[in-house]
Order: sequence, then C-alpha cells, then structure tokens
Amino acid sequence: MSNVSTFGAFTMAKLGIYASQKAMQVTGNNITNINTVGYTRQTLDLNSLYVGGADRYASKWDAKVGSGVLVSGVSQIRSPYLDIRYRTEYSNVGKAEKTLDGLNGLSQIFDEVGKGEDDEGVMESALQDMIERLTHYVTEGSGEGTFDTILKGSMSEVVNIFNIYAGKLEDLYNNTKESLQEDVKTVNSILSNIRSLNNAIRKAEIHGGNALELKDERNLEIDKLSKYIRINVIYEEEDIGAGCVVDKLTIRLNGGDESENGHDGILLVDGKYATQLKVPDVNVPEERPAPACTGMFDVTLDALRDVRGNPKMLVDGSSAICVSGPQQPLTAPGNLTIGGYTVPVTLLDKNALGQTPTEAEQLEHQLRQFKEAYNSDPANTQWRATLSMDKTGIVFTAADSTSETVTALTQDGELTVNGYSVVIRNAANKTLEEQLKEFQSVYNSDPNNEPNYVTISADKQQLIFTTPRNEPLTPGSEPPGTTLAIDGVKPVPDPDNTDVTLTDTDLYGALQSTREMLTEEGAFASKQDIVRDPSATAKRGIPYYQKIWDAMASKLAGALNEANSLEDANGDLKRYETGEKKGQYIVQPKNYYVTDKDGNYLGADGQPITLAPGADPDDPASYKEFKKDQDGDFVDANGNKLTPPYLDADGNDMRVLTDIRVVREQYKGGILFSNSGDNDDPTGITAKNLSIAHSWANGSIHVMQSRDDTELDQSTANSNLLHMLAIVRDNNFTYMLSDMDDDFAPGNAGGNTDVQYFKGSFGDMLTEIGSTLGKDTKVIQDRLVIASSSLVELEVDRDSVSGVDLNDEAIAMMQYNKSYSAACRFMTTIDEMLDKLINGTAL
Amino acid sequence: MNMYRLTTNGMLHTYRANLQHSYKTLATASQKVQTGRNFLSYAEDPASATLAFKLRREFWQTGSQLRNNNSVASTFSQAYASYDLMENKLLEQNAHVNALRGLNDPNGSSRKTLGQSSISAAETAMQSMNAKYAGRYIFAGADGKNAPFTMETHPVLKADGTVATDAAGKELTSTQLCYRGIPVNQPEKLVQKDQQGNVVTDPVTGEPVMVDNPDYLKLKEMLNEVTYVDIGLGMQENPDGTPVKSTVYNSALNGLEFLDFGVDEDGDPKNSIALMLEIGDTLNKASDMDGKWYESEPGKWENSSEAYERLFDLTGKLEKATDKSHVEFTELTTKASYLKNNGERLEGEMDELNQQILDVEEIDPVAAITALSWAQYCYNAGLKIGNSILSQSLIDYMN
Repeated sequence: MSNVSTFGAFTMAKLGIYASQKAMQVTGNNITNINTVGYTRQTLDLNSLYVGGADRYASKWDAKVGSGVLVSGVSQIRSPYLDIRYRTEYSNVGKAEKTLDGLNGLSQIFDEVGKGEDDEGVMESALQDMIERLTHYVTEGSGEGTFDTILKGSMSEVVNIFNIYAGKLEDLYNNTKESLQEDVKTVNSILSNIRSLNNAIRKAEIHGGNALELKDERNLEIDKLSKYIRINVIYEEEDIGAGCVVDKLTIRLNGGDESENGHDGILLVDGKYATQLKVPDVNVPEERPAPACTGMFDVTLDALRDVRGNPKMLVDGSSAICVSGPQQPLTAPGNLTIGGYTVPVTLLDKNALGQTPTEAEQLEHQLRQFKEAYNSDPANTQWRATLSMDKTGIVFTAADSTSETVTALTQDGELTVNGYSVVIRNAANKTLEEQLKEFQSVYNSDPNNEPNYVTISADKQQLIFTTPRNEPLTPGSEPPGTTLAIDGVKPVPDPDNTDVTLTDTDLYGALQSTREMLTEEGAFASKQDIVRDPSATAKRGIPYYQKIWDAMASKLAGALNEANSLEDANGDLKRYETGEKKGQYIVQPKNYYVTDKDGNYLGADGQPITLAPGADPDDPASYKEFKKDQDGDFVDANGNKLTPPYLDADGNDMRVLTDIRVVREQYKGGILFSNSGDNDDPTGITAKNLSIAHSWANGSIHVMQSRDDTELDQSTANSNLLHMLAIVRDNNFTYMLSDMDDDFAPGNAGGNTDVQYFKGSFGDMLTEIGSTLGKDTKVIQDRLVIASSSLVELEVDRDSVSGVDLNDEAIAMMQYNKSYSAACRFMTTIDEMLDKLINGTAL
Repeated sequence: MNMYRLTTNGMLHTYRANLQHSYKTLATASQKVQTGRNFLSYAEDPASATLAFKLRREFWQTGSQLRNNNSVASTFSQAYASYDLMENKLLEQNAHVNALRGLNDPNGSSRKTLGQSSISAAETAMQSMNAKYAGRYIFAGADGKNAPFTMETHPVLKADGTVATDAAGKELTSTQLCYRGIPVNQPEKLVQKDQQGNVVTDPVTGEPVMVDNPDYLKLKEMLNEVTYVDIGLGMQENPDGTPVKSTVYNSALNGLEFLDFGVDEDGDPKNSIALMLEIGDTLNKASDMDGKWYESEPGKWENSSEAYERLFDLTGKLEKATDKSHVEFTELTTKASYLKNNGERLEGEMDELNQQILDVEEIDPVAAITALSWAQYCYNAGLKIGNSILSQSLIDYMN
C-alpha cells in the first residue's frame, strides 16, 4: 500500500492555488505591459511535483500519484532566430538611412531639378546667362566697353555660386563629422549600458532572480546598437563556482570583412566588460593615448573594461607569487629580514583597543612596517610586497617600478608626474612630502590607474610608480627565503585584451555609412585606398564631390584665363598688344614712352632714348591723346583750342608726334580668374577661392576680342570672343585625376595611374554631377525601402512570438481563474472529507 | 506576413506602416499635380532629368542662334536699304545720268553744274556707305566702330605707281575716297625708290623696278576680314582654337567688295564712288559758258577733245562698275534670303525642343489627376479601416 498523507492533499490544493495565483500575476503583468516598448511576454513555468523515490514497503500494485504543481519560475517567450534576423536587417536599414541622409545633403546642393526660375536650375541658369552674355558680346557687343562689364557681372554670378556650393559642401562635411561624433557617443553609451545591464543581470541571477525586465531593456539596447554596427549576439553560460551558472552575453563584430586583416568576430561586449570606440578628430579621450590609425576616421576599439574602467581580467590567472613562510615577531626593536631585505622595525605599544597587543597583532604591525619600507625603497623595482592572507608573512609579486624626482609647487597648480596631474591647493603652505602624499592619495584612488600604484620613496623626494607584472615566474628567480607559489584564483589582466584598430571595411551599419560619407573619394581612390577597401572606387562621399566641383571651377578658370592671355617670345604673359595710329597727335611727356614712325623710343625731350631695365613701353597710362576739332586743330577736354607751344596744366611741354604707337583698350588681356579677389594669381584655384581677378575687377584688363596681331586695327574683331564662347558652351574638356589630386601626379610615390574620369563640356559636367548623385540616391532609396519593409515584417514576426495578445491573455485569465476556483473547490472538498473522517467517523 | 499569431500591436504596427505608405503615395501624387512636373529630383528619374537638362541647353542655344541670326539679318536688311539708295538713286539715277547728260549736252553749258551734282552725289554715296546699325558701321568689315569711308586729300598716283606732278614738278593732290584712311585708287605695283628717293632701275633692262604696293595689299587684306557668329551651323573649333569656317557665319560686310578698289590699266579708279568723283571732277572743270575744257589736266587730258574722250571713257567705266556692284548687291539679297530661311529653321527647332522638354518634364494632367484621386481614395479607405483595427478583444466580453 502506498503512502497516503492525511494532509498532503491540502498541500496539493495549496500548490494549485498558488500556481493559479502566480499565473494570474504573470497574465496581469503581460496585460499591463502590452504597450511597453521591448516587453517580451512572460509565461509561468510549471512542473508536476512528484515526491518519492524507491519506497521500501512499496507494492507493485501501488498507485503512485504526483503531489501537485510546482512553480519553477517565470520565463520569456522570445525567438533568438528572429532577433538575429531583425538585427541584421536593422543594420541594413541603418546603413541605407545614413547613406541616404548624406546623399540628400549633397542633393540639396547639387540637384538642380525643379530649382530656380522656371525650373531652369541655379547653376545651369547662371552658366546659361554667362553664355548668353558672351553670345551677345560676340554678335553685337564686340568693341563696346559696357559688354565687358556686363560679362564680368554674369561671370561673377557663376563664381559666386561656385563659392557658395563649396561652402555648403564644407558645412555638410562638418555637420556629418558632428553627426559621426554623436553616433560614436551614442554607440559608446549603448555599449556602456549593455555592460551595466549585464552586470545587473549577472548579480540578479546570482541571487536567484531571472531579471527578465532587465533582459528586455538589454535587448532594446542591442537592437539600437545593431543599427549602428552589425553584430553577432551570443548567449553563453558562465560557471561562477559552487554549482552556480549564470547567463553571459557576448557581442562580437559581424561586419562581414572576412579578409586576412579583417576583425570579424572581435569582442565588443564580453559579459561585464565592454569596449569603447575611439575615432581620431572626433572623440579621442585625453587620458587615453591616441590610436595609431592609418586613415581618416578609422575606428579603434579600446581594450575591454568593466564599469570601473579596469581592464578585462582572466579569472584563472596563472600568475606566480613568492611567499615567505610564517614569521615570528621580534620581541624588541630591531631588524626584520625577509626575502633578503632588512628593515628596522619598532614594536607596537597598544593595539586598536588600547590593550597589550597579541603576538599576531605585533607580527602584523612589524610586517606592515616591512612592507612600507620595502615598497618605498626605489631600489626594489622588481617586486612588490604585500601581507599574506593570514598576515603571518610577506607575499612578493613581480612588478616594474620607476622613480621620479619631484619638485614641490610653490603656488597652486597641477603637480604633474609621469604624465598624471593632480591639483594641489594651498601649495605654498605645503611641504614636498605633503604634496607627494596628496598626489599618492589621488593617484592610488583613481580606478583608471589600477593595477598601477605609487609610493613615496624613503627620502620623501621621489615618487615610485609600480606596475605589477602578473606572469608565471621561473623557479630560482624568487627572493631568497621565499617559496614560489601559483596564485591560481587571482584574476589577472588578459594579455590579449589590447586596443584594436579596425580596418576600413570592418564595420557595417549606420556608423560605417557616416564614415564613408566623410572619406570616400570614388574615382579618386588611390591604390592604398583600394587596398584598404577593394570597392573604394564605387563609393562616393563628400570628398569626391568636393574634388569634382573644384575640378570644374579650376578647369573653367584655367581655360578662360588661357584664352585671355598671350605669351610673348620669352613665354611671359603679354598683357598688351599695340598698333599704330597714323596722323599727328599731342602727347604729354610725363612718364611715357612713345615711338616715332621709325620705332625709336623717345624721351621727354623728343630724342631717342634707351629704356631703363624693366620699363614697360606699352603702358597705356603713359600718354594722353588730344583730339582735333573740325578745323583740324588740337583741343583740350573742354573743347578749347590749343595753340603752340603746347603746354599741359602743370606747364610741362607737350609734344606733337606723328604716327604714334597706341594701346588698344580692347586688346588688354590678362588673367580673368584668380585664387583671391585681391590678386591676379591663377594657381591653386578651387571652387571655394575662385574669384574675379583683381585687375579685371578694377578694369585694368578686359576680355580680349582677338588674340591675332593681324586684327589689331579691327575695332569689332571677335575671334577670341567666339573662342571663349566655344570654351564655355561647346568644347569638351578632359578631366584627369591628377588635376585635383597629387596622388596621381606623374611619378607619384604610390604608383597610382592617372586616368581620365570624364570628358565633356561644362554643361555636361554639371549634368554628370547631378546624374551621378541622382543614380546613387535612387539606388540607396530603393535599398532603404526594401530593408524597411523587411524590417517591418520582421518586427511583426517578432511581435507575433514575443508580443502580448489580449485574446491570449484573456483566455489565460479565464483558464487560471477556473483553475484557481477548481483548486479552491478541491481544498473545500478535502476539508469536507477530513471533517467527515475526523468528526463523523467512529463516534 | 508569415506569422501564426497576430498580436494587437502587430496589427497596429502593420496598419501604421501601410497607412504611412498610402500617405506617401498621396503626397507624391499631390506634389506632381501641384508642380506639374513628372519628377522633382534627379533621384526620382535620373535618365529623364539628364535628358531634360540636355534639351534645355539645346533650347537655349538654339534661341541664342536665332537671335544672332535675326540680328545679322537685320544688319543685312539695313545694308540692303543703304546700298539700294547708293546704287539706284545715286549711282544709277544721279551720277550715271549726269555723265550721260554731260556727254550729250548739245552746248555743254550745264556740264559744270552736272559735275558739281556728281561730286555731291559721290559724297552722299559715301555717307550712304557709312551707314550705321546698332552702333556699328555696316560696311566697315571688322572695324565697325570707325567710319570706313572718308574723303581726304592725298597725292595723285599714276598707273605706274609714281606720284603725278604739275608742270613745275610739284606733287599733285586731290580729294580722294579713302577706306580706313587708305585711298582706294591704289595701283597694284609701285616704282621702287632708294633711300634718297631715286627710282631704282633694272640694271639689265633699264626699266624701273616695280614692287608690291603695301597700301594695295592692305586694302586687299581688308577684304578678308571676318566677324564670325554662330547661327546654328554646328559651330566647331579647330585644334588651334580657330573656328571651322563651314560651321560659322561671317557677318562682316566690306564696302570695298561692293564698290571695288584699285586702278585699271589706264590709271582710272575701279571704285564706283571714285569714278563718280572723277566724272564730277572732269565735268566740273568744263567751262560753264560753252562746256569746253580750256585747261589741261596733267596725266588726264591736254585739250577739250581729250577731256571729252576721257569723259566718255569714264562713263563707260562707271557703267561697268555699276554692273559689278549690282552683282554684289544681288549677292547681298541672296544672303538675306538665306538668313531668313535659317531663321525659320531655327524657329522650328525651338518649337520641337520645347515640345520635347514638355514631354519629358511635364505631367499628363489627366493621368496625374486620376492618380491623385485614386491615392486619395486609398488613403481615405485606410483611415476608415483604422477604426476597426482597434477592435474589441475577448476581454471586452468577459464578465
């Protein structure tokens, strides 16, 4: 006969009631959290309780019955597979979104569709206006000074637009850089949060909890992280000893770079340790050394650290220690020698309670004196002394020490030693020792300095910086009189935990997209860039558009400058062309050189002269021509007749010359565009610095009508104007990579090949910019639409597994309500039965 | 949507996503109707946007070419009017008639008057050839800012290139028609002189050595002046930056082409106006009493009979010169006609391009409004569904 417990059924009923109550609680939690973002529906884990084992008196006809229901815990219903798919797709969305943001920024600058008056575009319209003016100049304006001004005004508008767009590109670049800074901060914040949550979950699980809400929060953070970086999330179990196993979450990089130099699989979060991102020019913290990066905005992962900033430790460290055996305290002040080092020690008079110290307390006191003296001796650079756990001996661990001599501060300021600074206040009233103690206190309490520490030398003049070396020691190297032991349970820093600089293609996600927007140069990618990223030539970021915009500005300026400039036989710029004017003219003699009809230069007295070195015989400012009236007599500016001897207003003798050389205003060519509005320097022109040249702006030079010497006396010659029209409107220009990038210059050190990346007119180039940008944008838009649709579907799929459904919970409520009622009814029935047995049987 | 369990939030999420999509479609359709454009960015339709800007540039270019064409046509039209005045009224009706009258005058008493009339007609003809249009002298070639023709006093050159002198050996001068300051009556060759001014003779033949007259060459060079404009002939440049001649149009008109220059084998001018001057000068030197010439003109006539012969010759030469200039006048008419046809061609091109641009950029109003209506309908339907999405659940029916 099986055991029958009299009151066991009560327990059974009680367990049933309890289980139903708990289940109702879980259901209530689900319902109230239906709108909580990231909430995963929970379910009660029930197990059937069977109490019993092999019964000594069991009969094979016994009916073994269970003992009720046991609530074993609450768990979440979640699909890790859907989580993986969701996070992968989210990284696609993040990548496309950020890329699209950047391209939209570029489109706001370069996309001419629908802009301007009558949808003609802004730059298109300005270029067209310039062409119109030039056409007008060619056909009707040749020889008219006003047309030069009109054309200059039109070209100024084009220059202005080049400058504005270049400025906008720069603003976009800076804004994108700030965005990268924010993204890096966000990622670092997320990593820190995940680390903190991992800690909290670990502690909760150690104490028996399941931390489901914390896990939900962590999942939300992981989802957020996946948008910025594609990751691989792994759940492991960690044995923390005494049969206790807790969950450990590991996040690894999953950028997809499977090359030899790739860092796929590198740890971002490892349980309670996490990394932080460091990006040059964006967020290198001052206290960390600058990472050794090879490219702009390369990302370095800091070594994994815990919440206090301590580096990741190996739990089963295998460092060695050297232990001195139990010491006997000295009974009188004297020298204590341990490990071959002798320290004079004193005796302890009273213990902390004011009583006579025990032998153990005396020993501890003497050992502490030994420790302080040993550690503060600058000669002891190889070992660090600490008290053993039982405080009967000294433990020596390997260490590296350096000592620094310090000079006391005489006024308030920072005391900087070995690269670490401590603010000392009231320094004038503090001795060196006090300042050193203050420094020591701050340094040793800074968790960022662990496991390093500082001590003060015996002479109170130096600081000794010590870094413990946790490494296995070879027997025989220990201090004399000590025993080599393995400190197996002591955590030691993981030697593999170091800073890692990621390659150009390690990341995938929003962060990578922002990086690419700041760095990718498309066709301008050098061999080195291609080595870092094989698909570099197909990616176009802000630098690419900056370069081609500069190229277009430089090409336009260069072509028009060349068309408007003539070189003389020496290859120097020839600013003027001269002709000959027949007839008689009065000319002022001051500061001029004119020639007679034989070509001799004449001085002020009308006699042939030799020009001074550097004199410019064609200076148009050097003479003034007086007109003749209808009688053929010379007249001044007011129309008054001039009579010989011809004198100017200052009384200088003016001369009459025949057949003088003249300078024709309309042939005064020169540089039209320069790199600054206050000079005529045509070198190094970019879109940002493109300017109307100073001489053209102030009217010293003009657009040349003709470059042909035979057309000198043709006042309406227009051959050069026609040429300029062809340049601006029709001619195809070849754009080579070396035009804007010295990496492709002939004989460049990188072995880069200079190629043509575009050939066409300026209008074609403008269209090419818009078209390339438009095509890239369209591709990314389509990708974003696809990825977003997939993400929505996955989100719904995920929600179908882990989301709360009111119908489900309603049914559960009904179910548990019924089971509660049934359990209560069962208890009532048992009660009645027992009442019958007790009060109604054998009376 | 592959799921076996549809939660409340899942339904809401899907509804929200679909409603947003529907609203975006509505917004896009609405934007198209409002702007009248098929696309609002390069990204929406890169191929069409690229084509649209290409077409716009061609449209603008054709417009410029049409304006150039019309500008040149107007200039030619003015040239036609001025030349018509010069040729018909002055040359034909005045100078030629005066010469004939002078020849056929029974008593010659009116010869002097006719001569003065001819000279006056020559000056008027010159002014006619100095006509301006839009601030430029029409017949000045590529020197449109300066009047091409002037009357200036210059030494008289003989056919052999030497300067004519009077009986006392003094250089003879006369008022001559000049083109840009160079008298048009230039012989092709001049007698070569040394630095002392003596005639250089061939040591073998003893004949004076003749050299090219630089002024004649200069005048001839001026005939080649061009002012090219783009009137839609596919303007292209040679590698050295000069235009390919067959792709541009020369709008320069040189007065010398119409009136000719130089002297014939008799030393008489070929230029029509110069001939008018010469005829007028000859008639002017006749006596106003009986029309005879009582003074000789060195190099031209010795007596009245020779003067009359000269007048006769000059009249014939004027007729020939008139015929030649008439040919040039016809050429001008042909050019004007060509420009007219070209203008019509360009106008047609502009219309075609405009239509193409509209086809690429602008919406079909019917299709766009239909799409907008449908998008609005779908959005409204989506909104109506929203109410029923938040449907009751089992909880609402529990006691």
